[in-house]
Amino acid sequence: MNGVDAGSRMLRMPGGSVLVDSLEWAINAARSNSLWTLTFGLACCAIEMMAAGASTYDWARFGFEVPSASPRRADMMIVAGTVVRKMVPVIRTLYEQMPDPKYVVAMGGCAIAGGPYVYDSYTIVRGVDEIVPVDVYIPGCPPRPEALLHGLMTLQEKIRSQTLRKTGAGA
Amino acid sequence: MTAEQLTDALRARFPDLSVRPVDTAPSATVEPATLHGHMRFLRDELAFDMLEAVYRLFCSEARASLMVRVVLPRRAARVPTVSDIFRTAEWHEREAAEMFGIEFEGHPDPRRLLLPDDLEGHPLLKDFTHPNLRRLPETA
Amino acid sequence: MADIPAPPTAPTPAPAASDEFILNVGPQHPATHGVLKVVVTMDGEVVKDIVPHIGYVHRGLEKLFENRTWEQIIPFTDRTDYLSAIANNFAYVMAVERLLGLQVPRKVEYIRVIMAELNRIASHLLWLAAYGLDMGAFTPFLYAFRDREEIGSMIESASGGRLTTNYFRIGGFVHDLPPDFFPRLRAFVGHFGRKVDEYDTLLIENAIFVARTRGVGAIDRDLAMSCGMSGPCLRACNAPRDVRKDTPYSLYPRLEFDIPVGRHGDTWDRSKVRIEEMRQSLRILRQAMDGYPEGDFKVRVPRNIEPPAGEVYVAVEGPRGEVGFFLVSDGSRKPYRVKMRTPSFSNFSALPDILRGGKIADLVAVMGSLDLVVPEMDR
Repeated sequence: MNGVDAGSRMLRMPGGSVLVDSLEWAINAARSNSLWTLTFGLACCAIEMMAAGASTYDWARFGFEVPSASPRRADMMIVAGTVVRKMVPVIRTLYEQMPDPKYVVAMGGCAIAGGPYVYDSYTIVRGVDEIVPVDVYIPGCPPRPEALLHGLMTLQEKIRSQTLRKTGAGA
Repeated sequence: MTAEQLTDALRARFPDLSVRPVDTAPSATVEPATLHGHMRFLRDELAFDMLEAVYRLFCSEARASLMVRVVLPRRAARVPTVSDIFRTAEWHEREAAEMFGIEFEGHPDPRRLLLPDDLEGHPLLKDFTHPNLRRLPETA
Repeated sequence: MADIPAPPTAPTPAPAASDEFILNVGPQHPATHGVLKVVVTMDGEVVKDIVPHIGYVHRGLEKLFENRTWEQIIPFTDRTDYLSAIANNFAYVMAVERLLGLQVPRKVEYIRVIMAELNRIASHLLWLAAYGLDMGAFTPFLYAFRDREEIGSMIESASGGRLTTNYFRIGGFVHDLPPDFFPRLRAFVGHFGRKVDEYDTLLIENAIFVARTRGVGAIDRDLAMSCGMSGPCLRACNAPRDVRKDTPYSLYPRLEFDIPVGRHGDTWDRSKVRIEEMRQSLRILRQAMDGYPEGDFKVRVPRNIEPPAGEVYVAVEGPRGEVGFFLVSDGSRKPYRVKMRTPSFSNFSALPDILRGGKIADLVAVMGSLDLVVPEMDR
């Protein structure tokens, strides 16, 4: 369903809001516990992302088991590394190829705001949020794998707080 | 071979070449027109097979054992390519061309290498301007 | 949001025959080890031509360096080749010290070499992990990262950074090594030899790996040298070139180690050379631990580093090959020109020659064996 508004039949039923709440809970739990990430490591942060996926830190136990090379199957894009102008159409294309619901995590200083190159590099893009909307920002240069895990868990919380009900700003 | 032997070999072959020591290696300054001949000699007879060419336009790329410099004018700098002698020069010259505006005559593939297509100008020239560029303070 | 620029209009070759087609690999691709694009013209499975496109992570570092003081450049050098951050630090710091005419204490040389060799092992482990992953082998990835964590933790206890260490300083270090460093290093060196054998049997000597890599992607030695290749890629072509032996620096003249050399220059040789290099690094580490002196961990340098006007080129042997810095000083606090000679730039430029006439399935095997790190190429 594409957003349940206050006047809809489901909410007007006795116990309707309980039904919607339970559905929300189930859908959000399913989404947050099986996020497939698009493998999009650009620079140094990619290595810490790989470390977070490898043996010691192991993000698979949170459900991020399947890294998808193709954006068509991915739920989230972790932009890990420096974004430069030549890469901008690529990032935008990848974002638009991902099906909804999709989430973007900006990992590391470069993806958040340009990183150490922000001041005077002639090719830098000052943060990937100039190109795609970002859900979670994970600071660090590079962030430790634990920081990445914390960021991804924050994303999970954000997903779990999403609602099926239509809000004033649109679903 | 030692730096002295190298300097002697160079002077024997090219008597009017100016060779002086820079750092631990000799450095020879040449004209653009004669660059190709010098490079061929270095590769074929002195067996300099891991050379990185040096072009002097307020810039240079150097190798520890020998530096060859070419003095070029700032605008309309042209130098024959050495990528047919040293294959690695193909990419280095492409980069130097887009960064400094040097034209390498005879280069097989003079496309942009690193820079985005919409960037105008030659970034590593000292008078390059860009909205992002600003002088940072020198405070420790 | 910013304007999206149009995609780059680099010319792609038009297919000559009707059954040729063009395949675009990258910039987002799991096996490209970073953001590079390779446009492959194929006739069926045979690669007719291959055109690399780089610059997707070009940060304009050389221009940036002209706007930073000599000390401020050190953390940036980590981030070019982040897998061999120590080697980059090493080359740069030695170059500035050469400009200043500075001699560092022996203890500093020992610590530098220990860190450099640990970094070499860590980098080769990551190469092994990623290469196995590309070829479809998941287990080496998990095993190698387990060992990499151990090394990273040791380096972190000394420098504060696991990956981008920012550890070396002009003249030495900020602090001495922590007291638990050497016991940990000794334990590591003690058990890692068996691990290298394990990686050998697990991946390099594995029949499937051998079938996919032996005879594949061979490059002729003269062509490799002309392309400027260095490091394991060149040594696999039966060319015993190693900066630590050719232009020795730091402690290496006093250390005993061999340079593993391959015979055919194919992908398997490049892989085997890296495994052998890990063994040689262990040898160097043992010698460095045994001979570790007492002394100062730094030498006094002026507060404002202003090297006299001049030029210098210093190269070290990084895990990927020769990492060099050409510095031009005009006597001020900021450099006039910094040119980085990075091994991946030259190694990658040889790709068309290696792969032309080969099969597309070998593309991944060959690119992985070149051990490329793209930000190092693009700077």
